[in-house]
Amino acid sequence: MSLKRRDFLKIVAGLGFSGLINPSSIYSQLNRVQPKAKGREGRRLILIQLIGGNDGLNTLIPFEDDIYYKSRPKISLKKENVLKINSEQGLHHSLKNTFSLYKEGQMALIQGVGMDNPNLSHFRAMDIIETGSSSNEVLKNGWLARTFNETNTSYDWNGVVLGGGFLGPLRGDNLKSLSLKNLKFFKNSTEKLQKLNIKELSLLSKKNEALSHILNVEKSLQKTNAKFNEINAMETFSEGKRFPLKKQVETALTLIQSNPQIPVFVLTIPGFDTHRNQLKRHEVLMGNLDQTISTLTKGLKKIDQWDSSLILTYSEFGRRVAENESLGTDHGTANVFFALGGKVRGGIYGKRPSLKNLDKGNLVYTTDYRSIYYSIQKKWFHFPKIERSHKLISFV
Amino acid sequence: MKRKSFKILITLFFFLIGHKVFALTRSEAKHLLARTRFFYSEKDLRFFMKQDKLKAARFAIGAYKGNQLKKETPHFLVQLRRKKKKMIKALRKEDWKSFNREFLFFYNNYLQESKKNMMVLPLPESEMSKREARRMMRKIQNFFFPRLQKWWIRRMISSEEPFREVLTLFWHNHFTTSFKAVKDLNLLYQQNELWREKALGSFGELARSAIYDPALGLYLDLPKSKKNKPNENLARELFELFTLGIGNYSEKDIKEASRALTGFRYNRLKDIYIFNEKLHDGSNKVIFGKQGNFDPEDLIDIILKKSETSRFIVKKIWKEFVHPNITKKELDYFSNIFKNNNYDIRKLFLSIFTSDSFYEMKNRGALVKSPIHFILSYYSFLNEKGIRPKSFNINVIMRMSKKMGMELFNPPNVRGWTGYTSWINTNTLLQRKALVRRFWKYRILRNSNIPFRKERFVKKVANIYLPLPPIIDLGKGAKSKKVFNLLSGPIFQLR
Repeated sequence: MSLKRRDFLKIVAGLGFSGLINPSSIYSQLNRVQPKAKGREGRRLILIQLIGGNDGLNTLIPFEDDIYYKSRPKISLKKENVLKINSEQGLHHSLKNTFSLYKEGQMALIQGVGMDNPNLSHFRAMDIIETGSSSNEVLKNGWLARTFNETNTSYDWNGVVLGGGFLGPLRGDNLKSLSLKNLKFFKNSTEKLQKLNIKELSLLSKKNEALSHILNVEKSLQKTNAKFNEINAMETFSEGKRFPLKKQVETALTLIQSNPQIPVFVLTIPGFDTHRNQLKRHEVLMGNLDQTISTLTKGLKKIDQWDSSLILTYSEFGRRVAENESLGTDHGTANVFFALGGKVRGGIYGKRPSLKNLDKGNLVYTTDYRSIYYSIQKKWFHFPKIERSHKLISFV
Repeated sequence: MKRKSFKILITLFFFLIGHKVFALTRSEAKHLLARTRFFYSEKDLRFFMKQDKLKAARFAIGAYKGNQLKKETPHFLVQLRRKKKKMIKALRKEDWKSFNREFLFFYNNYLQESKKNMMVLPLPESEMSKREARRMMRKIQNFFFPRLQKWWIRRMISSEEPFREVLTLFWHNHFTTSFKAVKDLNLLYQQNELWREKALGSFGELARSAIYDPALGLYLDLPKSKKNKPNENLARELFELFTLGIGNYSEKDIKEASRALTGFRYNRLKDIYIFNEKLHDGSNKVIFGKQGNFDPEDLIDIILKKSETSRFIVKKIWKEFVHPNITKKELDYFSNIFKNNNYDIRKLFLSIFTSDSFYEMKNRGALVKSPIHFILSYYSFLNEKGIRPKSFNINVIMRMSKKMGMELFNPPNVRGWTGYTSWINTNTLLQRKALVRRFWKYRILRNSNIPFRKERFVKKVANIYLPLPPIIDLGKGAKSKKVFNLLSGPIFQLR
């Protein structure tokens, strides 16, 4: 009689409690023994979604450009406050911790990111950027769901969305992506699940696609339950002061420590639709982003997962170059993305979009956003099967 | 010879036995009810089991009800409309004194309960601007939004014509419009009544009303569509999502159609759309190879002449009411009926619900309950048995529906809720299970006379409320948990 993996883990976790073994290291080793994806193993992507359209120009500020100050007489950021990364550009003053990561060479800034014929509706633009489509094409599945589908990976789970909402870039992958909001609720509810005899069920559900889908979700919940039992033994990440995404960050770190193989995590920060009184609000938002990034980074370093993590921020669109009459900015186009991680090649990538040659008051993009996705597929995860026509960027 | 006498015998046999033979079986009656209502009771099921297919279909659709549909304007809206008008007038004249008077009325009357929703304070006249005023008006709309949602949920629960309510939701999800984008409760209410009123009429009429509907127009940027600079948003969605389906038109058709759709003007005081000949691009257009100086009415006529429209709508209806996939034969047959009957929605449903295809075994329990279907089914079950905790109220239904991915009046985007299997992910399934657990109170059960531990009762629940046989073993496990397990199990998620 062989010991079932699950039972074994329980024992291991128990030992961990008594301080004999560090459970996390054994756990991750166990995971490595398993047959894994064809791509680079143990690497993960942590997406931070900035909902509402982050203002790229006040995030990465062209402080030597007169047009910037002329277009934004009231809401531009002063040169002396900017955290300078070179002689003409600098980061928002609230991004202090992020800036120090830049100085350590572990942060890449990709500028001028956009697409042809950008759509300025929040919903549509978010659809486009999450499915990885062109602006006049409607795709059903998220770009990551399609990636995993194309590469036949064999992760236990492909990803976790931490807001508890729809799967976003993982949409279409209901069976191997978890959507969860509150780990405690998730854990408690999965523990209370009735046991279903899945074998018996599969027979019944053969002709009923809806039923087999539900059973698959039930299955992955039961599987989750078995694994989530281990979480108690892990480190806690709940130190430090409060900020809006604290819960999501802590949950992500806890999950990463207990399941280092999960390749995708999605965190969401809302509120970037700064049509009015932008200066103050954006300062708070940038502060939140900075807190989120630094807490994540510290946590990842603590559990020795910094080198295997890539953090990427994205937003549905950037904002108009000129300020509007309510001290804010309207929906715009090209934007700046952050990529951070132990293996990131720091620096600034892509051409700075011109503030002179605008398209209806909007920046003209210089880097197709799908180049970033393609680089992640190719250079970060090393999925050999993925082939796209987009240019590769070497930030990882 | 032999065959003929056999036929006579059969006829005689059916004549004698009468309608009992033709009456729906339990499984058939359940199937019809599950597809035409958000929820049903044991009494409903018994009633349908006495009807033959035709009568059952007529009852399900709501024939025999005549035209007694009456509008029930939600109370809060009557007041809100009047005040809104005054505020708009004041805003236009920049008469901040009167504006503030109206705003203070809301502020004083509702501030107590609105700590979260209406954090905006009245401003002194000197600080007012048009932009500020609009923001304050939006805050009021946001505050009352849950009331509109709850009004609809109450209608779903208490309607005399349950199928009309089911269809109202169906058309809401077809001609999508969201509060997030439109931000006006009266417009959404009017649109909702429009779908309800025309739910079972002609689809042509429905599509025509849709392009005159101000909420839909605002949602799809119609006010931005000018004679010399037409906006393609409505034309595109009209073709792609509302009538023809993707692939049945060219980009050129969209461009030309968007010119045909210019000329609408939104009257904000009356909350209506008016077509103004002067603002309309009356020049020549080529749509689907036909030439003419088409206006919006012509455009709908052109769309209705195309058989793709009939096929697209039948396919969508099939997906929501019968089975996710329709066979070519079924599609040919029903789309012909639909088109040849002037797109009569009632007739289409009558022919579907009396057909053999509808009752095929593979269709039973083949669809997924939407959050509203699920919550209301559980709610009505508890109600019927007299074991609903008071805390399970309309507010909870509204909030939980949102948590499970369905916020009424706020479909995620213009495609609407994609439904079917997309309703169920790990989070939403846990939410559904948690809801059942939360309101399954043993304290209440023990005080009721429901024999919830008895084998017989458990089987009865399964027989009446589950679309398929339960896949959990009813013989095993703790007795007290059996009914609970049925209601939080996988089969109850289906319809």
